[in-house]
Formats: sequence, C-alpha cells, structure tokens
Amino acid sequence: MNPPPNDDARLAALVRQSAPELADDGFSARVLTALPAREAVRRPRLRFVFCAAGAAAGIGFAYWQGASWSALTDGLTPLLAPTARLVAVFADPGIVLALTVTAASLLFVYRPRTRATRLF
Amino acid sequence: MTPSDSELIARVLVSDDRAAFGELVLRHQSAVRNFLRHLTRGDAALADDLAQETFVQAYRGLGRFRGEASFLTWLLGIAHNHWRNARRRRDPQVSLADHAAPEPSIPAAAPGSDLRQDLAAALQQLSADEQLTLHLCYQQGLTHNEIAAHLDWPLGTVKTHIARGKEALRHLLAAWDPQT
Repeated sequence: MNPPPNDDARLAALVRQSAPELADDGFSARVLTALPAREAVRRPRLRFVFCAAGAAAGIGFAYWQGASWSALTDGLTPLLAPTARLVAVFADPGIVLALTVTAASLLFVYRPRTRATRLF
Repeated sequence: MTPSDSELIARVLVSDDRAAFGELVLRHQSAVRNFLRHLTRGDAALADDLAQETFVQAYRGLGRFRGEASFLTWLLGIAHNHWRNARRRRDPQVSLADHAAPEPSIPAAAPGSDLRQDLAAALQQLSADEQLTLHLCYQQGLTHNEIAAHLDWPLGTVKTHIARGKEALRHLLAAWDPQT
C-alpha cells in the first residue's frame, strides 16, 4: 500500500504519476502524414518576395525612364501646402485630446494579452 | 548525442526537415495528448484529433516560436486554444462541463484498494479549472507564472485554483491519511 498523501511534495508526486506516459502507437506517423506541403507553409514568405521584387522592378523602371531625385522633390512640392494645413489641425487641443482618447481606447481593446497568446 | 528541441526546430525551419519535426512530435506527444485527454475528460479519440491539429498548427507556425517559453509550453498553449475553439463551436463531442460542481466525496478507501485509483477518481471530482491548473503545475511542471500567461488568467486566480484543488484532494483522500 502507498503511504498517505500527507504533504505537498507527496501530493505533487502522486498527481504527477497519475498520468502515465502514452505510447506513440503511430500517432507521430499520422501527424507527419497530415502536415501541409512545404509550399503552403511558405506562401506568406513568397508573398513578401513578390512584393519586394515588384517594388525593385518599379524603381528600376523609373530609373530607366530617367527619373531623378530633383524630379521627385518637384513632384512632392504641391503636396506640401495641404500637409501643412493638416498639421495645423493638431494645434487644436480638443482634437489632440479626442485623438488621444481614441488611441487609448483602441490600445486597451487590442492590447497584447499575454506572452503565450502572442505566440499564435 | 540527443539534439535539443531548439536544434530540431532550427532543422525544420532551415531545411524543412520532417524527420526532425517527427522527433519533436515523438518527444512531446504524450504530454500533449495527456493534457487534451484531461481537458476532454478522458475522450481519447477526440483528444488525439485535437493533438494532431495542435502539431499541424505548430508546424505551420513554427517560425513564430520565439523561444521565450519551452517548446512544450508553446505546444500546450496551442492545444488549449484548439480545445477552447472546439468548445466554442459547441461541438457536441466536446465536454462543456467546464465548471461542473464537484460531486460528493469518494468513499473511504476500501481495504486493498489502490491509492492511485482513488487519486484518479478524486481528480475527476475537482472542478475543471482546478484539474487544469493542478495538471499544468504538477504533471507538466509549469510554474504559476507560466500557467497564468498560458491560460491568460490572473496569477492570483491560478494560485487559488491550485490551493483549492490541493485542499479538495486532501479532503477526498483523507481516508488514506490518519492524521487528517
């Protein structure tokens, strides 16, 4: 007969022993059969590669067409005035407060929950 | 020399070494299946299905494993999520007795009965949360902090469930202990 579980360590040892080691019995083989093809797993990486290649092709094409840095800055000049007006909106403390409250609310709702749940 | 989990994971990530992943499955299948059998209240077939899904998802998401916790802890997190999702879908096969009230105390140990049998019966009478935390703590060797992170529960709740579970076990197994 086993001794009684009269202390924490004994209780812990008993609980630990209550679940026996399970034999594999073909489980691992079934898992390996069910694994997806390599291409399916790597699809997100491929998407990134295609995006990067597209961007590089676009830059190359612009360079080939004779684009220059000055042409780019000249093209951006008309955007400066609307940008300045947009920035001026943030001078209003009410707007800043409203945006801060909104951002805080979103952060609270979508905050990272735990180290473990971030893994998924 | 036996390769560590990290070495096997690296081999899977670098060269899609399925034999290495198979070794990881072989190494951790018992813990994951036991954990899921525990959650499904002993439904071995359902637990094995969920365990298989767990390993497949682990394979898909292996690149996201950051090594902050042990690989087994990470697997148990995935397994718990799978079980929770299955329960949410209200699959009739999944036990919904998550907060079942404990049944009355088991009878006093009969002469010649086995303490382990009585312990197994006693564990079944704890609430699901108490069983789960005791299982993770004692059978999987997770710390209270790891369990809290793993289940997304406050640390105090974890400690309370473990303390209550232990107390209930002592009560249920009192017949084995003449001092209580």
